[in-house]
Amino acid sequence: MNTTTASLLALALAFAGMAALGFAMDRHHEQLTRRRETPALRRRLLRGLGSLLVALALVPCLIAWGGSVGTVAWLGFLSAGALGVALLLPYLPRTAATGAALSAVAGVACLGWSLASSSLSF
Amino acid sequence: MSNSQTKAAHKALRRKAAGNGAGEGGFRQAQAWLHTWCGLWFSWLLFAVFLTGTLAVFDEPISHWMTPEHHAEEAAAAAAPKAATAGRAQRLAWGMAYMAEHHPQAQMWELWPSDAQGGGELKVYWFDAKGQYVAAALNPATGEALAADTATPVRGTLAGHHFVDFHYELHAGQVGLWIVGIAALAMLVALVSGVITHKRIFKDFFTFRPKKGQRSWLDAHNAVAVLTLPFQLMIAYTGIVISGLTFMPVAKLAHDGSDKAAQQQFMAELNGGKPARSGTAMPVPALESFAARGQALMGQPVRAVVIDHPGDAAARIGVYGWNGEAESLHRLSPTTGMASFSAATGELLQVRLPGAADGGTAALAQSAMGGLHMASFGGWAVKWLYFLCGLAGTAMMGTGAILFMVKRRGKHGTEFGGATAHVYRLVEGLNVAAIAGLGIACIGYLWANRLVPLGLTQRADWELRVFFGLWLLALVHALLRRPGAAWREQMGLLAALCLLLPVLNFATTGDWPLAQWLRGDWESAGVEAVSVAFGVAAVAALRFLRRRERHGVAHTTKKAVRSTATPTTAEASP
Amino acid sequence: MPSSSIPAPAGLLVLSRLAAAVFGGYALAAATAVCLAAVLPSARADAVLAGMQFSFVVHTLAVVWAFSPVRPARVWLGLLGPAVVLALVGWLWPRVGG
Repeated sequence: MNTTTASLLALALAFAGMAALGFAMDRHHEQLTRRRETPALRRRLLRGLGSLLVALALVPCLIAWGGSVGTVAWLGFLSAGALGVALLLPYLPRTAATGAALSAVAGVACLGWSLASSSLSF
Repeated sequence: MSNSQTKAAHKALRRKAAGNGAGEGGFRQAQAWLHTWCGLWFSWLLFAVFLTGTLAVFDEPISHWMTPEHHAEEAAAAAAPKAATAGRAQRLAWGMAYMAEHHPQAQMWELWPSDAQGGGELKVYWFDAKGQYVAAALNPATGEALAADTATPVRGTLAGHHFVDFHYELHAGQVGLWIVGIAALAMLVALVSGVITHKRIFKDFFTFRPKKGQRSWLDAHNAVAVLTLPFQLMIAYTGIVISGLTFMPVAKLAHDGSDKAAQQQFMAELNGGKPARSGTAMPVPALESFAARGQALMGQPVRAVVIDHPGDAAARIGVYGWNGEAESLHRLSPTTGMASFSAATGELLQVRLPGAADGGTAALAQSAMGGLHMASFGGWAVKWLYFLCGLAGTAMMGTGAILFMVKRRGKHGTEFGGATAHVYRLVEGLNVAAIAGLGIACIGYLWANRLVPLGLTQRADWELRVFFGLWLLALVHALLRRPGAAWREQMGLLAALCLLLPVLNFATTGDWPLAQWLRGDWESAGVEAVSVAFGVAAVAALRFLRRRERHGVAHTTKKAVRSTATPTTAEASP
Repeated sequence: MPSSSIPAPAGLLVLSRLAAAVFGGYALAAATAVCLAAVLPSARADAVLAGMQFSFVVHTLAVVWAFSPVRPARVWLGLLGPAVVLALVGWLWPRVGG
């Protein structure tokens, strides 16, 4: 996996994960749905999903950059994703949500395909 | 009352006090005080250090843009058929012959035979009689020394290195280094106290509420800081540690004292232990076999061959490698491979694999931390991440300084007693000059690069004078004009200079973004694109400032209308 | 009732606290560096580096603590006291055959 692909994947997954973690919070859930509180199940789901996506963002980083550099790059992508979420939430919460969902699906799909195809070729 | 009861009562009183002084109130309150004042007094300097540091991430693309004469040269060199130049063995032999003839007394010969592909320049380095590190270039086809002025005349300029030099030493040598170091420690203090003060750091993780005045500024300040906190802590700490032995020489001194021999021993240990002279003469053996063995051991093409004590029987030959893309992608520590041999016996003395450090864990950590600070790893993606986080850190300082005044505007404070109004006025002025003014100075430096006449002696100094001169003018302007006007005018100038950079380039060199794209010159295109992006951001800031000014005017109008008893409708603000 | 001393002017107290944070903190950091350089089992050059690297963390935390709700006099004591101890340890350790 080259660094460009890894960057796009990591950024997509980090953004999606951070968005999920954000929407799990009451304040940002309200920005999206106008409901005061996030229902308990939805909050657990979003937190779990968010954490998973954030962790998955580490995978392309480790593949493209190895252990030490990959971890540093991962932290950088997490910051980038979080900044994007913080900027979008007050202005365009629906865009943030849709974008996050698309990024999550596309990111996971591409990551899975990438891992599968590399294991197939060896 | 008993002694301890009195003490407890006093303590409780202190806690309850409206504590807004140093160490007063509770722990969080005291830390808030520390954060405010430590942050404010260093904010302007740190903003400058951070902005130039962020730009320094791309010092090479900036240098490329700033030396357009090189482009034609590089294109010609790439297009020309490869002239036959000698192989490594011949280059090394020429280098050695040159050194033996011209500098046989030097204690160290350093030969750089070629680039990673075996072509390119042939250069030799040594320490002259005054201890200065000097170089000579040899013709790679003939081994003859090249005259110093055969290179194509290029505009004298520090280019991107100005941003690097300013960033870590303010162009002021050791004094500047210490000032930046102290500021970096202040930054660490501000970061720690800021985290302690921020009560709802997780709840408010993504919180940004625009258009709410002071609250928005606080949200912005918190967001850019918290969301990039690992980076901010790392960059400040690694920045200090790189020059750590300068700032904290005590441990070394405690062991060595002023004993030169012990000091050299210390440096030698860190550099893999250089031997002492034996006194027996011995000519330096042919280097190619050592280079070949070194290359095989390191797994890297040969970058440099260093001979310590040439001409002596105890001479050591060190072979250093070129880090390829793979190394820089995967390693934090930027050290290259190295293999060192005894010149007399050919025995292998030491091998260092790429990324390792001479010494133990702490030495490796030192090297890795240097790599971490300078983003010398990971390629372009990491550089852009550093650029983004660097801008966030810059914004952290800018929003902090602005927040300080936003909280105090229109209030008749007594923080500084009778001088409070004057201090606030000074802070307002410093904010404009440090933020917008520095931006003008940075982009102005690029404008100077195109506008300062080519043949001028010490041209590089003139470019620097433009940088500092613009900054000084911005400060004067900021102190003379009302803050609102100063902000708008400087932001407007900044926007214009940034947006018009490609126009300037076209007018002075005939080059423009499409041409850059077509020839694949991403560095020049990138510099101009980022400049335009900054310009767009400055325009957005300008619109925000104009909106705020209109609101401010409407506020006064509303007040005036309300105070007259006639029930006319207030002039609504848009 | 114990006699309470006349409180020093506020500005002087802040200055004292600041001086303690900056110089006392540096002293503590330096002492830490010396102590670690002497005590760490690795090669000397490496131990010196490690001591230096750790010292800046100490200085930062010292400044943070110096501005917590503690009297300036206690700040001076709290920074210089351990500094002296650590420096002593660093000085004695190699001589005592540690």
